[in-house]
Amino acid sequence: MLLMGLLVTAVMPAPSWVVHASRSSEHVQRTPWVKVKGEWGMNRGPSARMVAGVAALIGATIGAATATSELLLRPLQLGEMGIVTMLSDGPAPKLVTSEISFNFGRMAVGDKGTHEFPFTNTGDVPLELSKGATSCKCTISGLEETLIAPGETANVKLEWTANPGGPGGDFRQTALILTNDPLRPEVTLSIEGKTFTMWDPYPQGVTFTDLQADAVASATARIMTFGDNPPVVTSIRVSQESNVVVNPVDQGENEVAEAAEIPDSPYFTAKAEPLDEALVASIPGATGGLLVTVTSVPPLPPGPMTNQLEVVFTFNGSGLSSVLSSVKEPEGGWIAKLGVKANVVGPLAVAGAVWDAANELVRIGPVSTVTGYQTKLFVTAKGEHRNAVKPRVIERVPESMQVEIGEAAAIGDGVVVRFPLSISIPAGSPTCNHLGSQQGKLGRIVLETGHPDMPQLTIPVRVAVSP
Amino acid sequence: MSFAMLPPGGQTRLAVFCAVLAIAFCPATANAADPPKPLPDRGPNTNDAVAESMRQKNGSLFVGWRPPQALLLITGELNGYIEPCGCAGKENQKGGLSRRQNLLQAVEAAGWPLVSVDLGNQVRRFGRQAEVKFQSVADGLREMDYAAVGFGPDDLRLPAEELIAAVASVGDQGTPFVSANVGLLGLDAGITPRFQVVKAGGLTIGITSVLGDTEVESIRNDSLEMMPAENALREVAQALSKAGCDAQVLLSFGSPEESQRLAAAFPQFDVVVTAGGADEPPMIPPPLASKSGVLVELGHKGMYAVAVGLYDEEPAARSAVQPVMKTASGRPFLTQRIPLDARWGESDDMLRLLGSYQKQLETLGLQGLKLGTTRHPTGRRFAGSQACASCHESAHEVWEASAHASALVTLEEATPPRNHDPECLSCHVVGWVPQKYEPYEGGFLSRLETPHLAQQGCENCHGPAAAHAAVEAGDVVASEVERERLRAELTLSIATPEGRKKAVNNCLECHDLDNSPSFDFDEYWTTIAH
Repeated sequence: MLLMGLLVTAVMPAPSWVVHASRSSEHVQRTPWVKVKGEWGMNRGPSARMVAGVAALIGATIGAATATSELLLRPLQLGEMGIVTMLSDGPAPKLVTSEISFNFGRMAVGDKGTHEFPFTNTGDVPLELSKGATSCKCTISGLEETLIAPGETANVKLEWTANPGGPGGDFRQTALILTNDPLRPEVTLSIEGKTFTMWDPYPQGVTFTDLQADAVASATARIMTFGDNPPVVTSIRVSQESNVVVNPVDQGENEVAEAAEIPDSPYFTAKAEPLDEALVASIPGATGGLLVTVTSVPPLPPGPMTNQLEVVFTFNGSGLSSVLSSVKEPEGGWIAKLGVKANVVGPLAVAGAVWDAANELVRIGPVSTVTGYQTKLFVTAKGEHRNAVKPRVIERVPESMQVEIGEAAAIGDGVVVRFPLSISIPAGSPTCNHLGSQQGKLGRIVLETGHPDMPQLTIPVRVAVSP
Repeated sequence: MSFAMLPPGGQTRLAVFCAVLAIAFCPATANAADPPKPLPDRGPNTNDAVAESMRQKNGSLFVGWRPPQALLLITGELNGYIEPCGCAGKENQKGGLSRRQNLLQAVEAAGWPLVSVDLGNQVRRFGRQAEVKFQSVADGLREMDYAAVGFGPDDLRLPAEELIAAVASVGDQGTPFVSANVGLLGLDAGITPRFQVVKAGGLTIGITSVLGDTEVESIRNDSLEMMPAENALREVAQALSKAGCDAQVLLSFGSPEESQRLAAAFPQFDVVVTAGGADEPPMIPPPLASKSGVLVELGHKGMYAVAVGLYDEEPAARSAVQPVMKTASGRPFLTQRIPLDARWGESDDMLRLLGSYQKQLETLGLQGLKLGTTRHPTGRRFAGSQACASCHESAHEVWEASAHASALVTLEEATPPRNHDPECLSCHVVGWVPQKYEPYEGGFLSRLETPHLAQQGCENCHGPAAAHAAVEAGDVVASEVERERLRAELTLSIATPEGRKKAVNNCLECHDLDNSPSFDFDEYWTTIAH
């Protein structure tokens, strides 16, 4: 077979390897085996010599025949054309690019950058180029000459405006160029870099998860700055901007109201201090920074809270970064606004795969008395009395439900203590319905907790035992 | 008669004969009768024209690939974007769970052994809606049979009881969620494992995840136990090394620089997936500093997936620009950036999941979602667009003919309807803070409670007009000075640079890059000029 393949290859006249020259879908159309076979006379696919060459390859690589036969028997892919063209010495365009990506480095938000990518044709026939897609806000130009003659070079220019109005950060934009080079039918050009604004907070807000009503707790955010001088804070406050859950009754009056000053929050205080110099130095372009600490002021009302942190600072007007020279410091200074969010909870909580937090019940559902059932919950204790909590089961409905409380364990730095609750409905338990419908009230587990403010904890349980 | 003397057609026929002969006698072609399986380069529920147009727009996929021994499919940083919103036409947007599932199904249909992993950060906000969304996404990831899912910082800001309800094992179903350095209710609570070992295509793949140290510092959630990423990896890497893995994957939710540092400290990881970086991931992921393996960026908002195809031996076929890389143990692999565009079509399973999510939002309502309200900076209330119509007739006619006047209807008629979703409502009714997804005091609540504030109306640009309308109608007595002041406050003219800037910024609150990527003020203004 090898000999036969080589023989055929040797005696075949050199084919003209024709690549579709159109710049839309056609030239990158896959060339299925059956289609090649059906269009022999049209000279649109791999030539007879190529086929014979592939046959020779198969013969030569019987040991690794699986992969090769797959290559023949499934649609050929573009990349695989490279293998085929190695057997062809026919004319073809050949695209050579010295670069396909360019890094602009740092750009101020709103700045424009352009870069030209040279495309050289080292092949024998003209290289055709056309525009594919670009990422949003990225434009391509320089493609007026869509044909590059053999031996010539043309430039493709990408222009990008750095995310006007948006935040700073890393950017990358790409542009797809379609070509008639059979080895490189698609070339993706890429530009990248970092944009920056005058200041950049991280995280974007301050969040207190499961904040206890009587806890004094703190959370931090940092604000990196990019002015010529380090920032000087002129004022800092947490305002009670948004703390009222939607109320359909309160639609207000059509009064001729004045814009009211939003009051300070009674629940949070804030302070700002210069950020560690080493941290500032680790951020490219940063010239200063603030570490903002927000602290809760108990007692806090239960439920969700949304407040707003406002930090006003100045770069002392001695000029801003040269890159941002067009930006003027606002009168009164820059104002950084960050949301302060919290959900305020009680000292005891329940968690687990079957715990429905929205409805505050355990969802077990129907259980077969033949198989029984078991699951695991956790009770957590927070706050100053957490170590006084020693839960004990004092009631179970249904009574067949077994509840075993495991050893207490402190989580992390000990601010929270957890107790595992192993719950089981043993096989053979009597049938019952505690699904919370008219046929049966919800079941429950009642714990004596030892917590002075919450001596009992009732955990509703939705469960039924069926035959 | 020599071969050269054959006519062209005869040469061809002989060549085909040779090829067929070679194939027929080749023992390895016993399964040649099996129809070739398609490449996983498009979804099942889309037509050829859409698939071709997306290919031309965003590039071809898996060019030159032969079936890998196993395919690692990597997603992450969904950041709450469970679907492209469709404001600018879904075909112009990328991302969404629905397309993602079709991608996974296409890979399975191609017969490529699949391991799906997700970096984490399914949500980006805090509150009840984010909790419901996290639960929905976790359900979706289980349904898509993910092998490993990490945590992002916004996931971990949610209450622990919500996280546990969404991620903990139920019965015999294990959890795909994994973290080496974050433990819900403690690292020893056993709610999520510290690493996973999975098998695919005869390969054993070890996967773990960490939350970067900078992110750890930014989270204040006492119900979590967190430790420095490097310390945690020191413990987990040892166990992974003993698992006899053919490839090891680290899902590192930190900056690319932080992830590279971890990769250098633990060269056993062949694929290190990082958070951060640009919105658009690189076409070809860069190698790790250790020279073997690769650093995978995913971009943001779940718009892209990245595939890593692992091979037993050097892939025979590849395109000129697709380098073959190698794992620490010398196993070759190829990578492919995959845009989740319209070529993938919609999946029924995920559309059902999205429908269920929207239904939950409807059931909870705005009060059940515990939305806060924000006082409008002017302190004023809203009157509704109809109140403007009696005096501003021509402007009202322009508005009625615009898409703004049916903004809420668009949500109501969507499949599934989105008119109970605050993240959609905020730009489709009067009196909401667009980027905070909350109503102003006195803003739209529902068709029943505030019918006059339905649709995107006049006051979202001009400001609350209740006082102005009341004065003009004679319902409230005001001095001429006061009357003029109220009029002036609602005037917005694009004739001056300041006015134009204010108007453009106002438009951008809703016509942002996510929802209106083609927005151009001058072009769009012509459709509502008044």
